[in-house]
Amino acid sequence: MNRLLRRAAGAACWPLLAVAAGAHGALAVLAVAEYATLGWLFGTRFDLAAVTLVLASALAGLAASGALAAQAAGGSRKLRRLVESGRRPLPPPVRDVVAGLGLTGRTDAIHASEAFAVTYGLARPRILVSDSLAAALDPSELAAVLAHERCHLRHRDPLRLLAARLLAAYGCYLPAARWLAGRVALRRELAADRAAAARAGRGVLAGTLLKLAALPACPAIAAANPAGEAAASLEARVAQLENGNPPRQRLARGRILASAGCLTLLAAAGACCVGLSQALPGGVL
Amino acid sequence: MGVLWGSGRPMPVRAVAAALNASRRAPLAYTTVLTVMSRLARKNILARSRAGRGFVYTPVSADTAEIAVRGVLDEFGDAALARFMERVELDPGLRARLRQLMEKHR
Repeated sequence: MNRLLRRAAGAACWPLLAVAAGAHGALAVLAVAEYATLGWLFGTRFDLAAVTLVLASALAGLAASGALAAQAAGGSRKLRRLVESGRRPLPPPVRDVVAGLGLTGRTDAIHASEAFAVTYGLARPRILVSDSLAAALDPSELAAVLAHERCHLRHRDPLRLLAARLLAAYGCYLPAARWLAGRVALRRELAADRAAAARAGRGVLAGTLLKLAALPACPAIAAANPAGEAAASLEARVAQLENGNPPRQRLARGRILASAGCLTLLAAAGACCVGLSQALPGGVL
Repeated sequence: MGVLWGSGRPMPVRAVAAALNASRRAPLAYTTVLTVMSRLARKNILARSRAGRGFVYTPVSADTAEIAVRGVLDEFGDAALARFMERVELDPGLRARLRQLMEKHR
């Protein structure tokens, strides 16, 4: 029962957050109208603070998610252009594994000294592997990596991750928002690992993780990902390989309380905004 | 970058400046080369390591195409990319658990 409830809460969480972000945006528009109409003649300082809070939080959220969207769009375009210009024929071991997994035509290879495999692209995701990956891994390990990436590709994970991160960026002042986006990323990683283990076996997947971790790291890529999060993600992936079940992720009580406090404050400010709208010409609400 | 790629071994700033100035009519100042190389090291295009009392520099990438790949993946960050594995230092405990898994499911 508990499990069902948790699952229902998990499924309802994101649509609810999207609706909440939409409502917050609408309240921010109302706040702008109130500023424009009432100027600084708000009834009390409390009214002024409430309207300012709604507007400031919406602007902060828009700025954060706008910056993230621009980064993702720019990166996506550059990566696509780079792959188009630097595409190489798939190395023979990769070509065989790709054909076996039904990924022909959706996988590219480029030259890079770091061994990596990524899924990218929002509308039509593709898999990109470096030729060093083919050199470093044997065919069964390549199958584990590509089965993992195929799961990301089939579920359009780049798009899901971006949507979750955009929503989390909109609520950047809520301590729970970042945790929720991280939880989506980890759940997708765990799902892809289950697909890889089903295809290649748990032992092969464990060996692949071990082998890739021993290769020299690219400092630029390492710097882009907070070390703590990457280590926690790997810990959860290893725990799933050991137990067969994904580990539970808990949000710290402090973060829940702080987020609930912020949301209550915002809800109160929003209610005040709606109340003030009576003073607008014609009464908006 | 051409000088460092050509040499194939770590080089100090002074040696890079000397190699660059060998074919230039107006020589580059040592500080100019130092500034450029420090910036490249900050952007992770060059790796800097201590050698005696000074530093030597090694190119991280093998060619310009690879620099571009790294730049894009770095800039992309984790915004809309699903990577097989983040670059992370494995602690000995995790390493041992992965080895055990390999043995168990061999």
